[in-house]
Amino acid sequence: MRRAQSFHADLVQLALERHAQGRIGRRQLLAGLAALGAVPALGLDRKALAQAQEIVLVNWGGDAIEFMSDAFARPFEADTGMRVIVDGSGPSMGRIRAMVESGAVTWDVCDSGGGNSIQLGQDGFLREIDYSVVDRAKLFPGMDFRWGVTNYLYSFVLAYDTREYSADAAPKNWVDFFNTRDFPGYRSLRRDVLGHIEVALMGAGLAMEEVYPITESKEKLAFDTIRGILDDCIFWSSGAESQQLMRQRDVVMGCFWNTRVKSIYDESNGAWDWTWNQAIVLPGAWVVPQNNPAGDAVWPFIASMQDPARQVRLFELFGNAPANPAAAPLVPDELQRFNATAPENYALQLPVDSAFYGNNIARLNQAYLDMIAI
Amino acid sequence: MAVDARSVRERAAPRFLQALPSVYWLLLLPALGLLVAFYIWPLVQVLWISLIEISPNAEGLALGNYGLLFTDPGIQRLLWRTARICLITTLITIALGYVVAYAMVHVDTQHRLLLLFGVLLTFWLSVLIRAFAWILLLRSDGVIFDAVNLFYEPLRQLGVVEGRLRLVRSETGVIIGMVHYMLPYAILPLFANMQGIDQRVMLAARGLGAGPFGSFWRVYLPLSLPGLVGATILVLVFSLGFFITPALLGGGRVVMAAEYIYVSMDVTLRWGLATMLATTILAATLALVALMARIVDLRTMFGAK
Repeated sequence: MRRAQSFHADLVQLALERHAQGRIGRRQLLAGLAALGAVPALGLDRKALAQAQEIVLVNWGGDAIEFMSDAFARPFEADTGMRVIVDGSGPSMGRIRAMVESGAVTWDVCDSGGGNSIQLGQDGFLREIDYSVVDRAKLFPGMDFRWGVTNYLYSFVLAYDTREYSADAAPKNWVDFFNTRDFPGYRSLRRDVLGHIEVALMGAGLAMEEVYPITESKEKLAFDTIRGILDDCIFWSSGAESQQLMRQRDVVMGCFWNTRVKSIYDESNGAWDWTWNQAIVLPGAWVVPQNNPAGDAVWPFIASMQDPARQVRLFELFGNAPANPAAAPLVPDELQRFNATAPENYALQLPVDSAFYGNNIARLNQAYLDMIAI
Repeated sequence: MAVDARSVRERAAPRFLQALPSVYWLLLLPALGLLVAFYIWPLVQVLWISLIEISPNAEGLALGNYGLLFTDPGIQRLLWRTARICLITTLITIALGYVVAYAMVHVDTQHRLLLLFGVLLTFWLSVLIRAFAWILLLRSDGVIFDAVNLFYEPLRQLGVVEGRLRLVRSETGVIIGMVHYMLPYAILPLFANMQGIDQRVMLAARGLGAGPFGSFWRVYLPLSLPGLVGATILVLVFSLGFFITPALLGGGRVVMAAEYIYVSMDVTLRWGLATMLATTILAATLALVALMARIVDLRTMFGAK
């Protein structure tokens, strides 16, 4: 059995759970989508489209199949007449590599991540993004990757149990998180190094602006900082597991995905809350495997998914934030507080250095797992 | 029957055909073909990748990825941790399993059915549900935790043990979960083996003057050795592949080989490292079975003799 390892897989699971709890009404969403269908075709390359019959978009399964169909695939089909198939097999790095190496590529657009796109791209498994069709201006600075286009953003936030802390006594930054003397009790980090070097460096007292560039000595500082709280730390792997820790009150605070904390916040009437302060914001990214069957028809499709209204729709379903800065004003006011890319939230956070992880994650993860292991 | 078939063949077939294996072996060909295509061949590919795709941290080593086994302390710690947890799990599982199997053989039919039902019941529960159930039972505000802590706390104050008690989200938790999962795999082969032991030999041993302990130690235990070895191999080999239980019950801090291989394949794309570890574990498993085969006759163990 495969564990939900990535954030993307996690979104799917989360949406499934929320739908099951009746928190997301499917009808009302579909009604909203109909209004969005009138979005004009965005700089479509008709010639490229004419050659391909269909595009296969691969995400992490579950309700994401239907949600991405509604938010992205159907509007595009309506605009262009081209068929889009949404496949939920889960485009992990290992699978993309295996598919490209086998020479039988059936995927066109895959839901991956910024750092992953760099790692896969450098190894030659991905096509370079055609930025003459995809619009860099519709992305936050630094979120336009050579082999990937940011499709949404999510954050590692500092979350805490509000039954343990009153509003002004709550941990406010990562220094508090790593301070086990004044904030006793178990806390939780992820069992993957992505974003955690930054968390640990700020925990060691560095200001947000001082985190980058990450040097060898900063790496060591980060590892030492985490090593210092190992006995008070539980490590989560899947998002469901992180929620379990919150629900059962196994920990008093944690570094969790904002989408998961939001879900607990909703179901427990605010028993868990979080701060955007010093959160690490990370890009999910569309990537295109080498020798994809639909060829260049993927670029107009990816461009169409940059449309703000379509991204806001996905945010309302998943809680993952729009990648297009122009989308923020379209988010309903009552949901702005939960939007990682709302300007006032985004300003508090540190956008991750994807290139750093693209180049170093294999080495760092190996060292990280070795360090946290008993 | 077998004699008849052979005599027929001897009469009908020319001499050179008799040298060939029986025609019944042909029936194995489809299964063999599947095995080669979907098991042996991918296995060869795994071995091949482990040899040719050198992991960045293994560059320059004489033995390529396999050099990491001797030079990388992190990999050594990983393998040692895996071996240690698997050995402890196996020891506890076999000891507990032996007692249960022994009881099952010696109680009356009705109680035996009840015991068998109890053993098989755990098969029906998903490994995830079991892991979460253990977390609920053993977490630090649970009843079991308080009971154990009653004994643990004085020991800690005396300095016999160190650190806070953690029954779950620790190595202890992983071993509890793994033993629970593996118990049926130990009990059932042991039970099958013990059922084949003629209980009258025990009476004979007692009649010849052996005490209860002597007759068990010198007669029953040796007779149950094939079952014991079989169960040990089964449990040990299965333990090596544990994935979910360590990840959930270990609080993220018990990193074992199977999950590490998965992460290296799917997340960090270090296929050279992953395949090297997979090959190493496979070789270790085969060596283990070969070693056991020298101790007992494997055919007896699997009931082929």
